Amino acid sequence: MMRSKFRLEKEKIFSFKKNLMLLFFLGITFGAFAQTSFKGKVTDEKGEPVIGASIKVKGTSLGTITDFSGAFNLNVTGQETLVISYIGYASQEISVSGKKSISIQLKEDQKALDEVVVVGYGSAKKSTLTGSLDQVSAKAFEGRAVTNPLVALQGEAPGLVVTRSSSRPGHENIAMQIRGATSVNGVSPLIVIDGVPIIDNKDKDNNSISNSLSTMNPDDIESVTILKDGMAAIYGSRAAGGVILVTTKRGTASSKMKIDYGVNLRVNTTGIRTPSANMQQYATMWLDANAQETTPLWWFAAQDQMLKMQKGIEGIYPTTHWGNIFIGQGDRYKELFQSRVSQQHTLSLSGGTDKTTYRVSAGYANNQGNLATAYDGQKQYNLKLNYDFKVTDRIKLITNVTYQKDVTSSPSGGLDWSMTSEDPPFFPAKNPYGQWNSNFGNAGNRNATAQTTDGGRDNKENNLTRIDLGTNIELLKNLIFEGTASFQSNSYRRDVYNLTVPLYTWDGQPAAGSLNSTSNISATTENTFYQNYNALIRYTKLIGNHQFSAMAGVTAEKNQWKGLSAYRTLIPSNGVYDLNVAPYSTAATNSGGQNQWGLYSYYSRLNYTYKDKYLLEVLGRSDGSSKFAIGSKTSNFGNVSGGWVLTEEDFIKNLKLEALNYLKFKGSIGVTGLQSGIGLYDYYSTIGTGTAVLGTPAATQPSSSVNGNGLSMSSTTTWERVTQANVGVEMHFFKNRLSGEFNYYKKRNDGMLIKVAYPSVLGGTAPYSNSGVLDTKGWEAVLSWKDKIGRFTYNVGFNISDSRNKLVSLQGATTYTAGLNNTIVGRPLGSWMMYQTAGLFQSQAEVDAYYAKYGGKGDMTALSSTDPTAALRLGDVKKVDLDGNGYISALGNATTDKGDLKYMGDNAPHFIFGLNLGGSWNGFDFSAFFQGVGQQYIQRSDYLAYPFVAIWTNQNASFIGKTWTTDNTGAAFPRMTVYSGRNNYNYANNDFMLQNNRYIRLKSLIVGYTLPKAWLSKVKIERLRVYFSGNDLWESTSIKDGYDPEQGTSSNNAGYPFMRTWAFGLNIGF
Amino acid sequence: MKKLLIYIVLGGALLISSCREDFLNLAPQDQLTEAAYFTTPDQFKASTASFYGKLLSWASQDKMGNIFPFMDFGSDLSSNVKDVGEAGQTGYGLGSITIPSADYYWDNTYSYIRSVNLLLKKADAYTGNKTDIKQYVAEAKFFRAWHHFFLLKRYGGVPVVTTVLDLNSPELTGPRNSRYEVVTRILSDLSEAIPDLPTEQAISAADKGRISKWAAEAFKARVELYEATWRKYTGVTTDFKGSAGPTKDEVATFLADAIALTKDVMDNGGYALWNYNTTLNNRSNYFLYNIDGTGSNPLGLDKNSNNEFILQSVYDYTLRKSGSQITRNAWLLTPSRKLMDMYLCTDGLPVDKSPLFQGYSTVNKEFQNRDYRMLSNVLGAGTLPAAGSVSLTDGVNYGFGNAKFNSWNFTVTSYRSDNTESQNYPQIRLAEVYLIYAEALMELNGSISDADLNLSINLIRARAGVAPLTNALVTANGLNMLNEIRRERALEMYCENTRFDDLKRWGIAETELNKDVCGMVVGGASYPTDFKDATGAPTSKYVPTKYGYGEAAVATGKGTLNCLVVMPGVNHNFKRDNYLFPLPTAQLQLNSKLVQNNGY
Repeated sequence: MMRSKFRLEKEKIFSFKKNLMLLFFLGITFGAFAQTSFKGKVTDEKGEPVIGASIKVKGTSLGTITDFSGAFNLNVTGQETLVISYIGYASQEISVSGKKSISIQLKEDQKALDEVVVVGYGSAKKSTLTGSLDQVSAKAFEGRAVTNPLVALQGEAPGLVVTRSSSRPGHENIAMQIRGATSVNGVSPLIVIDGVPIIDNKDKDNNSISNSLSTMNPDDIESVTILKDGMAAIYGSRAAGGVILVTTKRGTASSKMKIDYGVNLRVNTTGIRTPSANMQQYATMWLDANAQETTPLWWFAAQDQMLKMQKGIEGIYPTTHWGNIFIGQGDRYKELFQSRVSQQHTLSLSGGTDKTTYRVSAGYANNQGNLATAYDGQKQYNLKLNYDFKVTDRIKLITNVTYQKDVTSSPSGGLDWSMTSEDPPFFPAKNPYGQWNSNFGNAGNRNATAQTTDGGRDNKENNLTRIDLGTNIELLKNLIFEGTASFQSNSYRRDVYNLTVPLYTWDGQPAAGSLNSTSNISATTENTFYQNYNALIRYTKLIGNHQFSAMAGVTAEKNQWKGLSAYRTLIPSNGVYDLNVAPYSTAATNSGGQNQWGLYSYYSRLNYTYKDKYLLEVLGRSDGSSKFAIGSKTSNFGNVSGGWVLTEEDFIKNLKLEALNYLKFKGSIGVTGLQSGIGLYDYYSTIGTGTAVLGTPAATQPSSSVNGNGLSMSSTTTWERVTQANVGVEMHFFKNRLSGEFNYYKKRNDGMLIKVAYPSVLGGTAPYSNSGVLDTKGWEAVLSWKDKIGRFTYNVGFNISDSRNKLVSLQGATTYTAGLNNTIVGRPLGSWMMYQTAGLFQSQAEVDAYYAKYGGKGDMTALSSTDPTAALRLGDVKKVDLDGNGYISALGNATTDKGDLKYMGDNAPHFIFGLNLGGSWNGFDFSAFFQGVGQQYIQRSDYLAYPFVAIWTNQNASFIGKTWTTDNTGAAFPRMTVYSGRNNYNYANNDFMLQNNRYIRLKSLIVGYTLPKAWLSKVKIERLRVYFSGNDLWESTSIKDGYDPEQGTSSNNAGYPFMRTWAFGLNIGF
Repeated sequence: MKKLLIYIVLGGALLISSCREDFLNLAPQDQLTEAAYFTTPDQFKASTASFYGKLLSWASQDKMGNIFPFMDFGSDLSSNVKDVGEAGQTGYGLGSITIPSADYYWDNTYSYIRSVNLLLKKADAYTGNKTDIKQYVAEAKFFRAWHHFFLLKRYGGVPVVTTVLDLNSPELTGPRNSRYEVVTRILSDLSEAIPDLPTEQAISAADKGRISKWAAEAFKARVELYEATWRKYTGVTTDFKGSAGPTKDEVATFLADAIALTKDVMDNGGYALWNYNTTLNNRSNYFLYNIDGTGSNPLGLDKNSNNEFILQSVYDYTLRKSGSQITRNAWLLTPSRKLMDMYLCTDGLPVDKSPLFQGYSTVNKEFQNRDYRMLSNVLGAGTLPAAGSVSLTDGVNYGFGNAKFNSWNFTVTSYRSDNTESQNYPQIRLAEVYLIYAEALMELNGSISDADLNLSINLIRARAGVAPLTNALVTANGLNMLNEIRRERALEMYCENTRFDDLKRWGIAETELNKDVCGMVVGGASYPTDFKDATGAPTSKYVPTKYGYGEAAVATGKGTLNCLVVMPGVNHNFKRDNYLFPLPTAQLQLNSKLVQNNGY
């Protein structure tokens, strides 16, 4: 008895707990009516079960989803109406009255196109859209083991090109460009989150320090829309670079609370590294290069020593410059890099009642680079609340609260080119006594391993707080007022300290050089406050088949920035690093600064649709800006677009084409603006103040100068305006399984702001004037296929785009030199003007004949045939005298088209593509995403671009075996020589140095498994998915000199290797 | 309710539109504007303070680099023909000149001139008492003259700019002024500046380094001697095509004025040569150029001790480090054989005439009984090299290094390390004033009295431990007075941005530069040295195969001997046209009236 009572008690307690859990997690309320079990089965048109279809009791938060056999089971009273829905299918409503069970066949939704997309200041149906936009759904961010949404956007949308130069957390250097170049001044897309532009937060060097989007929690993103053509003109003067609209997730009305938790752990391994030589390769290059010299040059060593090094023999080497020093393996990569673990967590709670919806989310991520010697990474903290409250049927209040914090912490130095490129590769980091080894024996003052370990830290922190308050009011039927105020505040703090690290010689003596000989610390704070007020009115009216809608609004915004920084020297290495700990001395400095800008705008949009067949849209915006002089502050922008949905026409419908489901032609022409390159106060002539050092003893005294030497912007200078025309076609075939879109556009920036070149006698650079013209044209194509075979559903998506530009007019920019030229009239921005070569000298007779023709003139002046260190000989390059004027010259003229340089392409990426493969089967899901560039011409720059750019650096080992020698006269590259002047002639800006940076990279590979619902329901878990996610696991590239295709052209700056990410994750939902 | 809502909305909209100006009329918050500036003398003073940083010196500025390219790399005095080169043209001394598209020396100089003109324009509009700002106006005029002189030396006749140009000014598309017009403008600016400048004695300690009346006089004398001798020896041979000629013969006028100005500075300037020979082991000529705090010399002398520099660019270890590797860069300025043999023996006679000369048999011999400047410039504070201590085995070393401007104990105790050296850079110093005085007298009269020599260059020779130059010494030893004065300039001003200018104004650049540039005397069987034994075979200190140009027999202090060849004369092709630099081609394209210099 006692025993059973106890058991009863226990069961009670258990069931109480269970109920509480149910209440807490599921929010299910138990009805007072008698309930019966109701069964159903959901199938598609082929009779296949639909798994995961949603069954909801209309008007309540009750519901369930179907299992693997498409079946569901629900308790009902008999009064309910069920709503059955599944993505891609038309929803159905069925009353349960008088039924015990039902079988429902869902029909594929022919109006799947009726996806609603966000456009500026509103939304639109995709099927009746006349502009050109791309939409990226939340799927692009899910389960991707990517913390930075910008990285996840790479390759997702055909018009948006996202580039990065590193995978190092917090140092990715991400750049975005929509539809190619728009201006010589560059332009970035305007980023708008939940209808409000993000805080414009640039530091003094114009680097963006606000990370509104880049450190946003990817799990909060519902969708990203990219406005590409003139429809962006609703954002007026900032729209010429396109607009990126981010919408965040909100709760669903009348739904139970959903709890989602996601976690992933990642291991980063090292991918492609800089091809800097090791000791043996370094010696090999010297030996090869000197083998070709009549006057050898061994710099610090002699031939026998290089031979020793080539064999990898470590030991004391007597040298000319530094005395007896230890030379050994100094592979910084081994010392500096190892695999690191990163992690990411997201948690969200969402739901709603009749009157409110809410979504609360939190995120945490710790991303680490692969630095072995110290922490190098970025931590992210995200909190967000989206809360909507219906005060009455007519009034809704909207509250969004966001807090984002990112902390980037790195060594303060040593990750630049001193890591692997600046010095020869034979100084081990430590001497046998375990002390930091000095490079160059007694003399050195560089050691990246020591620098990153003990040389100090660079800590950056952003605290971003954003509060949006808004209201929607239905004033009259079809007349809605919307008002929002957004306050965004970012506080940025950076602390950098550089500590003195003593270095030692190999035998343990203190070396003369040390790292950071004067230790120092600096602190910077920058506070930015941005406020945005917006009010608009919407009106819609349907008269017969004519649908009208109109919207008009006014918006005002202001950005205020304040900065303060301070610096002190001689911070001791005692573990506490703050300005206060460093002694105050005369070397201390500090500085302030503040500025602001404002915009005040009116905008409006009118839409007219006839039977969803003929579409017309007109929009406009009038922007006033504080950046221009009174009288030139205001400018107007706008766009007209139209569309024709052929498949709505009777004559098409009558054809009863089974295959064609949807066909739309569209076109637009609009004018957008940009403010790139314009300072905040360019129309003021300002005074720069500083100090000058004079006196005995020396002291500072105030000094001043007129900024820009008094050449300030004229009062008539105004915005750049870009006219863009777009034509496009959208198609859907085979029951919408195949869909595609193609767009072609042309842009003209007429009145591009340039600094017209005046004779230098003027005494300064002319201010900006609206004097340049740039033309851009391009196209984009998207094709996707989705289908299922039995329980296997799959999809394939491909997008590709290209953009070409031509500088039509830029006063004064007619001359060019060898190599990369940013501006040449008649050519694209970033044109490569290269020497044409005609092979290598294979006989002395060829050399003599060449000297007879071109010696002593032009580029050959410095290559005297009698100077053994400069004279050309076998294995050197023959350049072609293209203009036949009798000498080779590095100068060209675009007007006369005279010169010896040949246009060989531009440096912009072309044929940028993304390829998506996905599939799922019985709970398994798979997706692979490839991204790449089909064509981009680059020439490697800086010290490791080709052998012996300078003799005192490390060298690029990828050239070994590829250069001309007497045994390899058919080599692709000219002979190596130790004389840099001749190497410059042989390599720099010659046609064969141009590489096509073509690549395809497996950006992400995801394999997941969702556990069967049947198992999970027992433990009250709604969803559980485990997955593997890999980033950048594979690539194929046409780059031949050993660098990563994404890192850009510099051979020095990118010692930090690209990473491959291997992540394991879990998503769980209650 | 509905109405209320509408009122609220309309009211809100009205509120927003009423504050439009608050969003659009935003003035700079952390900068003064030009419109409100230049209203007090202090603001004029601060404005001129910024001009001093634009004098070429140690610190790199405005992408032009620093003063090193104006030292004597590639000249006949240096065995370094590979580094930097005159004004950034590595092959300049060889006559190998690249015509640049853009030239910072052209662009920046005009920018500096514009800054000066801006101040002068504001001074014209100044409504306060103009005597309060006259010093700053005079400083501005000095700088305008200084920058025009820089252009004159580099390009010859150039557009003269004396107003703040706007985008439509005719000067932008006008022709070049002749060199004569440029000189006239420089001299008139200086004449206007001199009376309004304070004497050095009147300049407070805090303002030392600002231009004194004496500095302006000395500079004016420099310009006049330069131009008088240019016209006398080089004449119109370098004038660009279409240039106007001189309107009158001003050579004598210029020389007479230079003499009067230098005399005024010598008599009233209160300057004195920095001479601590007795306590610095006769190495005043080494320590003078690196005074940088009390640790920069054994006596603990700081910059207060220096009363020789008339105009100097001020540096300070705390406030303004050089930011240049002064010691390392200057060390590269190795002396040529020609320079080594130019130094006199202590009896005032050249090496081929003096009985005191010890020859070259070991590397220390040639330093004995010689000008202290030779010891200072080559050895710094160090002792004579031991016999056999120099190795010619690497193909890089040609003999000796240069110590002028090197920090004391640089490598031993790191009193100063790379980029932290902070000695002042001498723009004008008293020794040059003496040299101008003597040379101008000689050029004007064809002779100079012993008394005038004693007033000027014999003071320099005294510090260098060399017997005075007298008419008797010249006559008795078959010397040439003018050549001895020129020799004195070469030795004293070595590394100080004058050698190329001197060779050109004397009209002898092509003859002097196109000779073999040599290094160490290596001798031979008939004259064994550290490098060759009595059989004529190289010793362990010398690897001839490392030296691509081999040896040449040249005249030395001990007859014709074999020396290492740094760069043979046949590789030199310096021409009269190379006296001036080419104008940057981009400027020629922007202004079709600009005529390129001859030969480019």
